[in-house]
Parts: sequence; structure tokens; C-alpha cells
Amino acid sequence: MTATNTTSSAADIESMSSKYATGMSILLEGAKSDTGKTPKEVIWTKNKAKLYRYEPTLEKRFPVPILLIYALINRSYVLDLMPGNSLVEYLTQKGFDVYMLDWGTPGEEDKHLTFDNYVLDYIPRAIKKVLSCSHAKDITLLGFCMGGTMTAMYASLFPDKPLKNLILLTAPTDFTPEKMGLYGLMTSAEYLNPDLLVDAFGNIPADLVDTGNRLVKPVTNYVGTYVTMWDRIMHDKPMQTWLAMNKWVNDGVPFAGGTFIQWIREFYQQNKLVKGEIKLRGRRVDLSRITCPVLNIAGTKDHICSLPQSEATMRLISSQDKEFLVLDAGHIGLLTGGDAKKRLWPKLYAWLELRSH
Amino acid sequence: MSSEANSQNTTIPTDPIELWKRWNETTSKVWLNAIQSSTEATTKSSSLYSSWLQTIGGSANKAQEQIHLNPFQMMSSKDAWKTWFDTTMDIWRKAIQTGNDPLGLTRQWLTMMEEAQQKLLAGAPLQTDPFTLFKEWYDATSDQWSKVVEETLSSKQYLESTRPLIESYASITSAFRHANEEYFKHLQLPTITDIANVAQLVINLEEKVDTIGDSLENFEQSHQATLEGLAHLEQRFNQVATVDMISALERRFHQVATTEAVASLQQQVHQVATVDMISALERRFNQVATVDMVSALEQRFHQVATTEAVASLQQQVHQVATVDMVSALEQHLNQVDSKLDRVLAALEKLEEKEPAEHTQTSNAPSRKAQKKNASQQEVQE
Repeated sequence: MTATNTTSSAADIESMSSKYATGMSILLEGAKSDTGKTPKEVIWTKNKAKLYRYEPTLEKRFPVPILLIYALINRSYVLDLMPGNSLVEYLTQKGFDVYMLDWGTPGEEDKHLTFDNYVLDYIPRAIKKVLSCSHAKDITLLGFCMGGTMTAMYASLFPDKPLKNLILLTAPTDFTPEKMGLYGLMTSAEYLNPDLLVDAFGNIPADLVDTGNRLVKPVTNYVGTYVTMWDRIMHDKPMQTWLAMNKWVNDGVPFAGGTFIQWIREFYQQNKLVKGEIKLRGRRVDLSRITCPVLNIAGTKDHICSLPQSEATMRLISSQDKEFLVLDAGHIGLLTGGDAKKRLWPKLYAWLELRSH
Repeated sequence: MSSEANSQNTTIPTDPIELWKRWNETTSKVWLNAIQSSTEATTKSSSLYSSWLQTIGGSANKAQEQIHLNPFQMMSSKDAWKTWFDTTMDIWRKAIQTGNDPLGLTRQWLTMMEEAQQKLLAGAPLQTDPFTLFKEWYDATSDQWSKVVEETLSSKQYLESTRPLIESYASITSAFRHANEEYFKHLQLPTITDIANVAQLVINLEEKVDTIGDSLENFEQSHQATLEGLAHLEQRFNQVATVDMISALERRFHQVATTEAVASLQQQVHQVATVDMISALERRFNQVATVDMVSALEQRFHQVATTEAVASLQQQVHQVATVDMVSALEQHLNQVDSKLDRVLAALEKLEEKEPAEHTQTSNAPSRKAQKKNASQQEVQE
């Protein structure tokens, strides 16, 4: 063996060790990523919730502001993942006035909160603040996942002004068990009693919710994700997006107990929303009252909100101007990453551009 | 980066087998730790994976023991991986034999591993890098294994087993929580419930502040609207007429026709032909003959023979000789005239023979001269 070969071999081994160390560090300490970096200011708070206004990067081109509402079990950065891979950043750079309602992390004192509180107290007040701050008369609501279901409920209860447009990203409305696959079985009344869990935990721990979500695709979520990680590390591929997405997946927030009972019982087990039987403080949620322009987007590979679950919205609403966009993506890949940049974001911009004046 | 990782970096193993051993030790440990901590924190619904990964960890340890015992014979990567497969599968087989496979998942896993082993070991030279081989193995089996696992998780048997698991876990947690609460209560220390109660009071207070804030905001908005409204009203007042103007206007109003008069006028207006009608009429008038023309026409009518006269004339015309007849008659007259001329000539000759008689006849015009005079009179007429 020559001296050069020895040096090369040592360098290889050193490189390999460094890679293993990187991987092990991620496994031991969790994925770390600078998420939610688009500059913003808090313009209103309520309990744990905060309303952000993202700093415009150029002069406002569209008078109608956008309010983003995500799922109660996520963190706010899911829509502002990382610089260069953020829906919020993209919309801001296109000249929209962008706001987001950050739900915060519910504490023990919030375990009684229900959708009644979120849809009738938080969202309307946030909208009022947005309109006041933006000096606007109308607003576009963009709801992601459960946040989409919540915005749809808001839209049905407040169908007139100021709601101008409604965008639903992988938002389930139909919870027929056959349309949900394994999720339908796991949440059926036969096997899951939500009251029991809320009695025990108060708020449902994020790990428990994450486990439920991961079990729908166990091999992919428990093994495949880390195979991808090692593959990227070993072949010196960029890790930023993987880290941000992995952080997202492992960084949920507890599910407020009262809302969890409603979500599992009235939505998953009794499928009340499509039947028009959901009532918030006695007010019936009737999706046919939605008449504003609607863009409804779903992913073919989404196992959290299956395609038929969001497709049902199209036949339930009364909007004349409505579009159902299906993308070949999963629940997270639909929103971020290369495909989202190429397909989802330009589509959102094109749709909004025509309806934001 | 952790201190453990740092310490690894400081002593980099040069022997690939040592590297593999260290990697295997660390990964197995991490997986086992992760699994143990996750089962404590959750409902143990991942126990299926726990046993799976624990078995991998265990089998890998066996494999590395063999590698450690006889490293020189393990230099062939194919042999190394064959040993790894054999040891791993042996453990799975034992698990099946002990009856620890209620869902049949282990049996299916073993079958799949046997297929993977044959496929991987029969192919191209195997990678010495354990990760690369693992990835190849994962790529070759993950789809099939996903299907198997998902089918198992969807089975009634599995789902039924989760309910008592969740219930027991929830009841234990609940009991533990309750016991803790009681314990801290006896110690007169605030529990999480106490803190939550205080937090709830703060939330209620915040709600009240929000309500006051909303009211103030609404008041401010309405005040602003009032100010704007007043300014607008003031502008309009400035545009409003003065008392004098109103008096003058009043006087003019008195002079103005009453509503009834206007209504009557309106009725009349409705009865009056419209401008279009008048225009049409005018056009028609323009097409009608004037009085002069009518008079002239009347005069001409008077000059025109009546129908009866025309009929009579027509009858007469029918009675009148035609042009041919007139020509024939003219010819005939000419012939008669010629005859007369000849007779007259003969008579004149005779008169020349008789001088006495001739004197008498020279005072009277001749017949020829008389005829000529008669013709001249006819022409004049």
C-alpha cells in the first residue's frame, strides 16, 4: 500500500465517520432546522394564539389580504418552513399582504376549548384585526389540513362579507370510514374512545397524535424516512429540506381535549359535517352556504387527508366559481419542496391574482 | 453535536470491521433507546415495531460477536452478510417457534427476509458499506413489507388488541395522575390543576379585556364614523339654501300649478300625439297634394268629359268611318271630281262653240272656279 492510498483511505474513513456522526446526532437529538424565518410582527394575541403580519418585501399589489390558518396539532412554521422553501415567503414576495393565525400550544387550562371557541371566537376576531391592519374590506382565507376544515366551517357560518375567497389545502370534510383507509378503522368508535384519552391526559399529547398519524404508513414513517436520511448523508445530498420536514413531523403540539373529542366523535366517527349536523354554539354548520370562490387542493398520496375526503367539498358547497386541483403529492410534499414550488405555489398565485382586487 | 459523537470523531477507526462494529453498536443502541422511550410516552401502539427493531438489534449483536471472534474470516462482505442474515433469521425462527407471533407478522417477515437473502446474495458482489447494503435491502423489500404491515394493522385481530391496550394505558395514566394530585394536595403544594385554574382565571380576565378592547375599538370606529358623518353633513348644510331662498322658492311654488293641474296636463299630454306620430303625419302630409293642386285637378276634372260623354263619343267613334273607309271615300271623291272636271271641260268646249251663250257665261264664274273657291273655304275652316 502506498502512502497516497493510505492517506486516501484515512480520509475516506474520516469522512465516513463524520457522516455517521451527523446521522447519529440527528437520531439522538432530533432534526434541527431554522424554520419560520420570514420576518413578521405580532399584531394581536388571544390566550396562546398570536396573529402574525409578515413584513412585505415589496409594495402591496393586491388590496385583499390573505389569512393563513393551519391545523391545531401543527406549529406555525409548517406554512413558513425555511427560507427559499416557504409558502409565506413566496406569497409575500408576490406582493400579497400575508397574515397567519398561530394557535400556540394549549396548556392544561385549555383542555376544554372546542371548535366552537376556535371558529366563533378566534377566527372572526383575527379576521377583524387583519382587515383593520390592512385597511381592507375583504379577505382571503387559506386553510391547511384541519385548519381548512375550520375555515370551511367559518365560511359556512359567515358566508357574506368580508370573506372574498377560500382556499382549502388538503382539508377533509367527508369522514366516511371507507374513504379514510386505515385511519377510518383506527378512529372508529369500536376501537377508540376519545373521552377515555381526554380523561387521562387532558390534552392529547403530541406524541400520541403523531403515532396515530405514522401508523397509517408505518414502514415509510418509521424506517423509510431514516433510510432517506442516511442516503442523503452518505451521498452528500442537501439535508436542509429533510431536516425541516422531519422537524415538522416530530414537533407537533398537544390537541386540546375538548376539540379532540369533537374531532374524533363528531367528525371521524359520526361524519356529521357532510350531513350538516355539526353545531357550534347552536349554529348549524351548513357547507352549502359557502358561495364565495373556492380553490380546493388535494394530494393523491396524502394518507392524512385522503383525496375523497377533500373532494367531497366540491359537491357540498354552492360556489359558482370553484376549482378542485389534484396534485401527485403527499400531505407535506404538497405544501413544500420542489414539486410545491413548481406546481402548487404558481397555481395559488395565478388563482389569487385574478381574485384579489 | 453530542459529546459521544465528538469522542467518536477523535478516534476514527481505520479497520472497516471495527467501523461496522461501532456503527452497529451505536445504531442498535439508538433504536432500542428510541423504541423504549416512545413506548413509555405513547400507547405502545408501536410495539410491533419495537419487537421488530429489537430483534434486528439483537441479531446484529450476534453477528458482530461472530465478526469480533473471527475477524479475518469475515473479510468477504458476502460471507459477512450471509452470517448476518443467518443469525437474524435464526432469531426470528425461534420467535415463531415460541409462539410469539399472534398476528403471523413474524412468519411473513421471515419469508420476506429469506427471499431478500437469496436475491441479494445471489447477485453482484455485495457492498462492504453496511448502509448501502441495508438500503438495497430496504428498497427491495419495503413495498412488500409495507403492504404486509398495513394489512396486519387493518386486521380486526390487531385493532381489537389495541382497544384494551389504550384503555389500560389511559386508566393507569389517569390513576397515576389522580394519585399525584392527591399527594401534592396533602403536601399543600400546588398541582398542575391548580396552576391551570389560575391560568384559566387569567384567560377569563384576558377575555374581559378583549371585550373591553373590542368595545373601545367599536366606539372608536363609530366615533370616527360620526366625525366623518358630521363633516359630511356640515358640507351639505353649507350647500343648503338660506331662509330667503326658501321664501322665494315658496313664492314660486305658489305660482306653480297644483298637482291636480299637473295631473290634468299630464292626461292631456297623454292624449296628444307624440313627436313620432307628428313626424309621420308630416311625412304623409308632404306626400299629399296641396289645395292649389287639388283645385287645378278639379278644374281639369271639370274639363274632362264625363263617363257618359266618353261612352257616347265612343259609340260615335264606333259609328265613324275608319281611315280606310275615309281613304276609299277620298279616292272615290277624287274619281268623281275627275269626272266632274272632265264634264266641265266638255261643257266649256261646248260653250266656246256657242258665242251668245258664251257672253252670258263669261259674266258668271265657271264651275271649275267655283269648286276651287269652295276648296279654299274648307281649308280655312
